[in-house]
Amino acid sequence: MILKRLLVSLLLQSFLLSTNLSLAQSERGFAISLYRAGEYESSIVELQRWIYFNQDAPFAPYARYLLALSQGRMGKYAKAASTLHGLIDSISGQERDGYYGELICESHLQLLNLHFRERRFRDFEIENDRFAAACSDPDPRLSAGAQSMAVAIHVYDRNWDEALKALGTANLLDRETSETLERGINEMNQHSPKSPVLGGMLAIIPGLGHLYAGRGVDGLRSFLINAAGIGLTVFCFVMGMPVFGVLFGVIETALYLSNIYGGVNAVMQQNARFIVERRDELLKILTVPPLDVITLREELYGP
Amino acid sequence: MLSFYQQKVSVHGGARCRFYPTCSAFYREALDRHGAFWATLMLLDRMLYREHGWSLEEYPVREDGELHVDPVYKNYIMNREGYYR
Repeated sequence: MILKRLLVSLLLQSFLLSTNLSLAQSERGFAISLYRAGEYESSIVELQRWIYFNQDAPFAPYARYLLALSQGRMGKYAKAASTLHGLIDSISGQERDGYYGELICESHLQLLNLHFRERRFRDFEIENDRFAAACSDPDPRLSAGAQSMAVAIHVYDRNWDEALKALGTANLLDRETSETLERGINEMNQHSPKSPVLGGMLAIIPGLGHLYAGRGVDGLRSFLINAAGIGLTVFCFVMGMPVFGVLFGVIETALYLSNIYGGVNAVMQQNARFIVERRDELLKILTVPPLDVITLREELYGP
Repeated sequence: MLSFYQQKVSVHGGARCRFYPTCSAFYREALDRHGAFWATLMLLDRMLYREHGWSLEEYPVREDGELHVDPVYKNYIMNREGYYR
């Protein structure tokens, strides 16, 4: 596999040399083509090699950006974030001279993206502030992506008030999406969950706690099992078999306590399930930007 | 006793638990995390009240399409935040 790759690389280089294209350009083009073909592992190797030999080239920051995207696409979020941090630190300041302004903004957005995917909410908030500070007038696609993620992160964490606030400032989301989200979030705010305490108290009568939670069949099974247990215990004592009575009594105590546990757990789980289902429906509406090149297609891929 | 059941008894009976992880593995993990009392309550609740009712449909199905996923860390009373992750 390595020999094959080496042979292809040598053939490509010799062909391109013969057509008077620079070696650095051809290798760069090869690395980009690997990324575009989805061969992220190979593109990481080629990009790292190209960056090592062309550190001062004007294209080097773009190559590092592609490297970070390749790492992110492979699920190596920590490495991708580290690459992006290093990239931003190395080119910060140069945007004032008219260089790399869009690259800095897009790198900040992808950092937000990585923090969002890893559910690192605190890091997301810090990075969001940095994004706002570094990019006073970003491309609308980048702003829309950042706003969408800012709402999504609060929705995911079930902070409905914060989500509404973030939605209020998200002026780049389309009207239909905003209205649907607002309706959904208000519904969650107004939803009153069932009381687990009441579920536990009702479970004193076996099966009623499950019934209150909406699990009728489970409640019926609980009632029948506990009725049988209590019946057996009483029967043994009445028939003068105290040893068996105590044995069944101990078993029935465990079953009864587990019935109360199950009733409370069923109520709590039903409440949580309602929230999770509604939350996931809302998250489907919000589009998270891709871990891919967004505004720099021309700089990276050419016209 | 649990190891004896898993290695000598369960092997002959075949896979019958409709949940993943199996009840014995579930109990072993619950025992490590929460102690004997809570682990017993969780196991009895699972085996007697949840495994064959309508509530089984509320648990996501594993990729092979056969078993319903019900890990210890998603038991709501014992780990509320785990349910939402």
